[in-house]
Amino acid sequence: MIDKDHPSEAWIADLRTRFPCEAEVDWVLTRKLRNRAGAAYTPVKLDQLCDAVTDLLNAELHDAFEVKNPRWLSGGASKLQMAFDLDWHQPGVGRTTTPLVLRMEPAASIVETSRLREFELIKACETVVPVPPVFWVDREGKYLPYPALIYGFAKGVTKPSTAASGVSGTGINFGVELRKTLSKQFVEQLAAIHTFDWSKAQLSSFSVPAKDSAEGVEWQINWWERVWTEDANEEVPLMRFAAKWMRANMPIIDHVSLLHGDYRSGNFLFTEENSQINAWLDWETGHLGDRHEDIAYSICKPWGHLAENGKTFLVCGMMSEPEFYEAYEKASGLSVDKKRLNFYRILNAYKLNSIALATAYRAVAGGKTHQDIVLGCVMGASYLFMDDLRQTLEEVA
Amino acid sequence: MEIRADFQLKSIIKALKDNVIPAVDPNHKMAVEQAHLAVHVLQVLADKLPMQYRYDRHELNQYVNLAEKLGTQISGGAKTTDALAQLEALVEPGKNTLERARAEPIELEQALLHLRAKVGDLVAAALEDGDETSQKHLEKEIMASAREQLTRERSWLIPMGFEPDPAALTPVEQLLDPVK
Repeated sequence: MIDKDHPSEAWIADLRTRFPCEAEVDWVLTRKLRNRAGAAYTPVKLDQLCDAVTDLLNAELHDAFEVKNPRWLSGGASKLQMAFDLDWHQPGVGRTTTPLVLRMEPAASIVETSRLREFELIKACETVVPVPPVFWVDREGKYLPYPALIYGFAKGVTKPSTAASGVSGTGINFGVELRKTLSKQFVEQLAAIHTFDWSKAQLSSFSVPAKDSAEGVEWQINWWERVWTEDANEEVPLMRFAAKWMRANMPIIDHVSLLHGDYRSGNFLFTEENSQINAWLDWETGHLGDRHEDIAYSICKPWGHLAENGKTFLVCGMMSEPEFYEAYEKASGLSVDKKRLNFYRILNAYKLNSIALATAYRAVAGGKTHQDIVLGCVMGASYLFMDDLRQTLEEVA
Repeated sequence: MEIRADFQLKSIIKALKDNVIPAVDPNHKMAVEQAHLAVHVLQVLADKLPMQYRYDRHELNQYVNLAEKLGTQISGGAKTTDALAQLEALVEPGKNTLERARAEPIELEQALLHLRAKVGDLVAAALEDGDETSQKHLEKEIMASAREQLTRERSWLIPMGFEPDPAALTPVEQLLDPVK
């Protein structure tokens, strides 16, 4: 059996050939494997991070500045986050203090992605949906211990102060009243992302899939089959079957949309005083592709819960599936096709298993993150994703 | 099942050492002492867990041997005779348990890991160049096996809190074969 904890260059080369991905994705995954045999994550102190941020800003800014008030942020299962205030001369604003967030990778993540892609995607969406303003990116970890980006601190909460939820913001119950207000924004903002004309945006780290072809779909299958192959400990025969089925049933992309990649409750902040979505976060798996991928992602079981009647499943704790599709079609002017939705339910379940079961296992086994215990808990959701994969395959295969 | 006790223990210890203990109020001496003690005990558990089964088996073997020796060397009145009879009655069941408990837990785990890998390879190969009938059988068997496995895994992990409707799942105790 291949020693996945000590990947050979020959195995890495074989994976790159078997699963061609977008160039930036290939770079990230290759780097992950080359770093794997290296050291486990060791805790970083706030002072160290402030010094590194100062180094980065010295290279970017030409006026005096000061990094102040650093503190840890929690939330999310993927990246390490430090909030701080920057006293600086902001172009177009003047001398000011800006609350910021450093979002940095640990030694290995539950999902390995590009900070540059995340930076470009958030920047592109600044006028489309509420996002925090992005300022700087350290793609290769030149200044920071690991690759990182810096964006504005967005106010808000992921769930009502009184609500319960699972680990990493899953299964949030917003309550009957709040759900009505948030649902409308949730759907309209998804539609806005999907109908945004991205062609003029700066997206240098993204490859553009051809319209009316399945090219972009194949990139996604390659991405996640490569991740599963690289990281899985226990073989799951169902995953082999699913990969084969997907390759034989790739749908054509009729409209190339910008996709968030992780569009769900728990990944947006809203302000409790006016119930407005204030920022969409976690764009790291975003890409250009088929809108059905995002739609199918939102309906995953762990993001939602049953309504008060104990029967109706609420998508992301918001609304029933039929209501979700109807509202989306109305807001976007784009159709929701059941057949394609089923394909992307399978692709998303495959992707989520690759992340939550395979990569999470590999990262925790190597002690590679700042919150292995959170990843260990997130792994518990993977069997729901796997069962969703099985059920959907049984329905459509 | 990927989420095993040894795997979870390792991440619990890391969380306590890296994040929790550094944040404990240094003036709360009892909290500091017990936090370190908790890590120490968890570390002992993590180290010993892989040997727990072997330890129990070794100890059972020792007591079976001791009972046999005592059976040949001890005699006395009614009380002693009765106690000996009760002890001797447990020797054969003890030997039988030892006979059946020959594999180490890690052997079970490794055997499972290898079988999983080879089933996966067969699935990939047969979907590539298996005949049509074989592919239909394969799909049926893989789906049925996945259904059984996922029912068990989801039930096992209900306490993790991800199930939207936990009451709809069969308790895992009812899904596991008894060890005979």
